[in-house]
Amino acid sequence: MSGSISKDVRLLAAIAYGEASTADDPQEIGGIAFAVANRCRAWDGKTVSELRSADPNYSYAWDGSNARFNKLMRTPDGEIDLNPAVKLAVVWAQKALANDGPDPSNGAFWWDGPDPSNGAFWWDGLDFRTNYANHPKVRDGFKWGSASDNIFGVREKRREVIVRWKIRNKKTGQIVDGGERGRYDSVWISTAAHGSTVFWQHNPDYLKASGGKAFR
Amino acid sequence: MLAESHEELEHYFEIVDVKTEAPIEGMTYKLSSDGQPLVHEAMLAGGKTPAFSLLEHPNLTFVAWRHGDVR
Repeated sequence: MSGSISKDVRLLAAIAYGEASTADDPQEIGGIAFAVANRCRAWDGKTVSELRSADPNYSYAWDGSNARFNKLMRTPDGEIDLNPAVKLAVVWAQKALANDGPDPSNGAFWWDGPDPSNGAFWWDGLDFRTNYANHPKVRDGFKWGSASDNIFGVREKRREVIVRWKIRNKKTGQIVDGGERGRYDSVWISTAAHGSTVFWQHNPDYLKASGGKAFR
Repeated sequence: MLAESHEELEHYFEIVDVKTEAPIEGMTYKLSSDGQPLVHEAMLAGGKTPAFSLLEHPNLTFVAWRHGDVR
């Protein structure tokens, strides 16, 4: 890899490398890089550093305790090529920030296709299974976008919810009118799964009913 | 057409479980009236927003989102 990499590319590469499983699955690393970059783009075009400030709990890896994250952050530019997985993460970070597909000229080592996260903004690793009962996405409600995303072999958690408005007479308390704004059966829906990582976005029905933002 | 006088009416939003009617907890919301903020980032209480006069605030906009960390 020739030349220096930017601070944002390095941070994004470190997240992708640090959050991915140690299998160094190219699609898993690339998917995480894209998920972060997708959320940055959706959230008023934030840089990765700005995203870190805005949502410090978004990634576990950047809290200082993740050896792979720390390793990539400390790898000098000139030594990135010496570790194929580190180089992979850096290339994916560059492509994710450019919102670009991988360069086919890199050959079979690189996954040749678009965003491996399939438009995700979030991801989960093995803790989704080990902490299933207390996991925020399980509490919120989630469903699989595709059965093949269920790499952890856990049950969907659906709950049908309605958002509505009501008009009442404040003297009598009687409801005199109202209507439905929308309904949803889960807050989260999976978009892909690679390696030991499931990728997520908000269920569009949830966004429509709540009026919330896709990145929040 | 509502039979009651608008002076007596108030409106609000709520988020509930379809089957049980139980309020959905853990949601933050913003409420605005004709583009002017009325409530800025508060938690729903019992799944409901406060009620506002239909006469004074005929055009309420409600935006809600899940509260807290995702991971």
